[in-house]
Amino acid sequence: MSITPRILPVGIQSLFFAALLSIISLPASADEPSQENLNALLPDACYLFGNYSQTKTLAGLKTPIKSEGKFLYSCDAGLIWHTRAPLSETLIYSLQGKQTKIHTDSTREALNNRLHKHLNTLLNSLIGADTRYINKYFNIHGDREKIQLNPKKRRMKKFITSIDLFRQQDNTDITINHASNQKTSMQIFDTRKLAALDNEQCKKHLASTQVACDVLFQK
Amino acid sequence: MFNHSQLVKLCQYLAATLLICIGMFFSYQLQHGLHIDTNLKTMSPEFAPDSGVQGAIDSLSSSIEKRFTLLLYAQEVDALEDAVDTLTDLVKDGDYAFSVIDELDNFDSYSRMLQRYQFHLVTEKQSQRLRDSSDQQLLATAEKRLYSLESSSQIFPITTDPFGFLNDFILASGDGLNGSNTSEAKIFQKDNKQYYFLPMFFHINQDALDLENQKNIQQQIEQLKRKVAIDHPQINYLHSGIIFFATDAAKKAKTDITMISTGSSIGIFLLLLLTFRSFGALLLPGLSIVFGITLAFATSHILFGSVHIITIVFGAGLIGVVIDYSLHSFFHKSANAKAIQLYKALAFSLFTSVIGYGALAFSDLMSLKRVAFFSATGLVGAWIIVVAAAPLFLRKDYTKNSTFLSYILRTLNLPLKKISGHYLSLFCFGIAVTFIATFFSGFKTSDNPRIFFSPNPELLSQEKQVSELISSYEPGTYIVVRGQSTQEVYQHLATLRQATEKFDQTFGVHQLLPSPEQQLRYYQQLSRIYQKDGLAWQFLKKQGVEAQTLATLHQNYISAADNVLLPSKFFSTMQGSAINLWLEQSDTIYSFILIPKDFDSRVFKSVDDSHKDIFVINTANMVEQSISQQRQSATLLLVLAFILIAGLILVRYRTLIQLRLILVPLNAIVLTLLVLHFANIPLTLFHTMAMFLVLGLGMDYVIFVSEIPDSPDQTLHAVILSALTSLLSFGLLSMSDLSVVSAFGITVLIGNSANLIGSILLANSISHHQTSHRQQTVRTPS
Repeated sequence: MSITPRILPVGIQSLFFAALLSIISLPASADEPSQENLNALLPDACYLFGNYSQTKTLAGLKTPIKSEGKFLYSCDAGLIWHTRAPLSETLIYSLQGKQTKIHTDSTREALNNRLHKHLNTLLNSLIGADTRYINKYFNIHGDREKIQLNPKKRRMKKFITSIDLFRQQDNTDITINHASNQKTSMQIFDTRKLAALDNEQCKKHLASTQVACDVLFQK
Repeated sequence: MFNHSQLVKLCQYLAATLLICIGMFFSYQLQHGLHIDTNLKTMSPEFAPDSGVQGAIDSLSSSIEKRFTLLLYAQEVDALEDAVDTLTDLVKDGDYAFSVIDELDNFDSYSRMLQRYQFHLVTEKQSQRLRDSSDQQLLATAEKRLYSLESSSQIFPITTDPFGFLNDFILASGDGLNGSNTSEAKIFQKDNKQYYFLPMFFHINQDALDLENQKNIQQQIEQLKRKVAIDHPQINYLHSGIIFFATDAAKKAKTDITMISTGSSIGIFLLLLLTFRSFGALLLPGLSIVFGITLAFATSHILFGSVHIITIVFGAGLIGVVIDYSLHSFFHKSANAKAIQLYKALAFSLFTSVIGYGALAFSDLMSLKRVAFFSATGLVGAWIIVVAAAPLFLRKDYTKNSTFLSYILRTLNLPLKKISGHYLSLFCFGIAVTFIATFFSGFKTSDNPRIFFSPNPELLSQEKQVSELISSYEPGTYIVVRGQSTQEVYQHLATLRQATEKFDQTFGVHQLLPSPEQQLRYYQQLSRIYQKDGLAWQFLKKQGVEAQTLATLHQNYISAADNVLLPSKFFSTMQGSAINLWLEQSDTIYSFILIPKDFDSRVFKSVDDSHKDIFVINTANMVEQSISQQRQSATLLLVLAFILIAGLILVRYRTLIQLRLILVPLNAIVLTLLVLHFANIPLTLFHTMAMFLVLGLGMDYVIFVSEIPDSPDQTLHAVILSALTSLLSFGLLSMSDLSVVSAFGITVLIGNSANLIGSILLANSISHHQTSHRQQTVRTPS
């Protein structure tokens, strides 16, 4: 029997990932319905590598928080999200249901709280190009210039107002509008589809955080 | 000098007054609704070591009574989650007698409450970090957090919670209960199929044990299910909660009441018609039933504020007993017995019957006390109206057609007349043999709490399933900690922690909130963060936060110096959405600790034994012990009742031979014990309590046999008819689904049958002695 309230902060970050990877290849087509736009936005790659820059506008802080890094995705194993600057941190969300943080000194920290568990589920479902999943959790509105995802579920609505996706030349911008008047804006660039991805190849792409590859691809 | 005319007049005035009172009661109460109590808890004895702890346990039970769970399950998780959302929205948007415990709403109120005490609340892990980390390390961590993904989902802004201490504390409170995580759909197997399930918790906003509310709630639940089924037809439900059992018990009891009152009424109606062959003969008995039962109902309702459902079931069985006074009036009025003899016998009979029922009031069970009051009042009411109305209704002799009863008496006397002369020796021998035989084989007894009610097997199965799926804690075993202050309670909790390292697996206030002393220590620890120019100031200034915001944060810290969050405040704020594990009564505090399933609670036994303020409650064992004690004291009370009645007989008749009267109910009880024993029916508390009725009814019969010896046949006709009506009512009670009621029924059915046989034997014996005495007198002229 429930004794205390269960707290379920929603994986805002994972929604960002989902949106990010879902709009990697935005086709330039005119006057297509939102569903088709979304379909075109979703990746058709099983293995993906790219760079990002992130700007967070937090309540009470005049100056937005900026960071940048790389990401690497495998439809067999999961996702590595590496922040390069201004600090170094790597998050691994594996398809086996484990979440790990790699610190600067290469020490590992298991992330077992429910926030990260939900991030993992959401993340891998979205990154796995599960349009059924996106359609299940979001209402999709927009045109070829901009798509807005509005959460359908109550839990998600508590923390996310909407996710805006739009294309700028070869870059993709994603803005997650949080319920608390905060927002997270991402710019994705230099993305590459990979033919294959194993531990060795992962280490080549993420030379600065090879431990993360070991974690992601461990049996 | 006893003047029966004055008695009749007095009874007429009383009857008229009571009739007016009854009328006023029902005309008022029917407008405001009659309160029928279905609280099964009152059937259960108190079992706690003292009244304070019992009161605390009752309070916890009341809190639990107001909650119920619907566990939704389906083969597809999507459909399940949608159905949960739909049901949540329906309940929130509708006007229902219950509200859904919404985790998201709870989260808001929970977070807002904790925010007011943020400077006193950190996790143990954070406290360790504060002790072990340097200022630079703490600042570096805060900065990392700022840039990491986690800060986007922080509950409070950075300017309020710069280092995330409050955020972590709130998450840890929820995460600490991951063992019973109920917010995610999980898998279980049912009927060899795999399903996903999610529980939904509800809080009843009204009196959960009121019959009308229960009916209303059940209807509303079914209505909601139908609405959900429109879009989600594949959803199934498991139910958990006291309300479902209470509703089911009330339904069973209503069925019983209908069966017993209808059966009794029709059976008695036909019996009386068969006996008297006149509808006019039904008037006085009918009046005594209506008057007696309504008086009993009204007075019970006024005294207790409600009438318990079990009382009503017994009340239906009382029909066959209250009718006795009118029956005796018919037969002895018609026999031209001296009126004074009749009224003396009626009075004595009432007295012993009231003693019989009244003995139930000595039980610790409130339900039995209520039955005692109801029954005694009903009997008195019936008696008054019969005495008052008999002169008006008994102008005609209705008994001349009672050939049916003569036939029964003749049939019974065929074997009985042969042994009547040996009445005394026969009975004594019977008692001795029975006791010797059963003493060596041992009486089977049962003090299992299950005797109180037989739960619906389907409901019980669902309750167990739900408990297995979502509850991590034992429902019937827990610890109660008592203290005079919050800190004292925490000290006792520390004692428990020392008793076993597994104490942290238990759940209670120690998992939710640090002690007040600990909170003050945390406050001091946080001074390096929130003091002027402290780490928070340094960190936020670097992020460009305005000076005013920094000053406000510091000022908030200073103002909150003594502002600790007490458990009483914590639980009262979460009231309705969390079970209250903290109770403050006058100057005593009770805190409840839940024990995980499969946890060996014996590790706490040494603490329980040695510590006066720590109680390990094992409900089933304690209730069983309590029932056993009550059964044993009821047995002693029964013996006492016999002694008292024997004394009364001696006072009334002033001769030892008249103690033979008491042999009739004594043998009836002994025979009942024998039958139960050989029928493999274990003796329970309720069988024992029912023996008081056997005593009362038996004395009722033998008093008339003894008081009016000149018309033995008329007396026996009345006794037979009286016994038949009682047997009809109690026979129907024995068929009840409620164990309590059926135990009473079967005991009185057997015992009163034996009372009837015994009364006939006694009447024959008295008649035999009278005949011998007359013959001797004739042979020996003065």
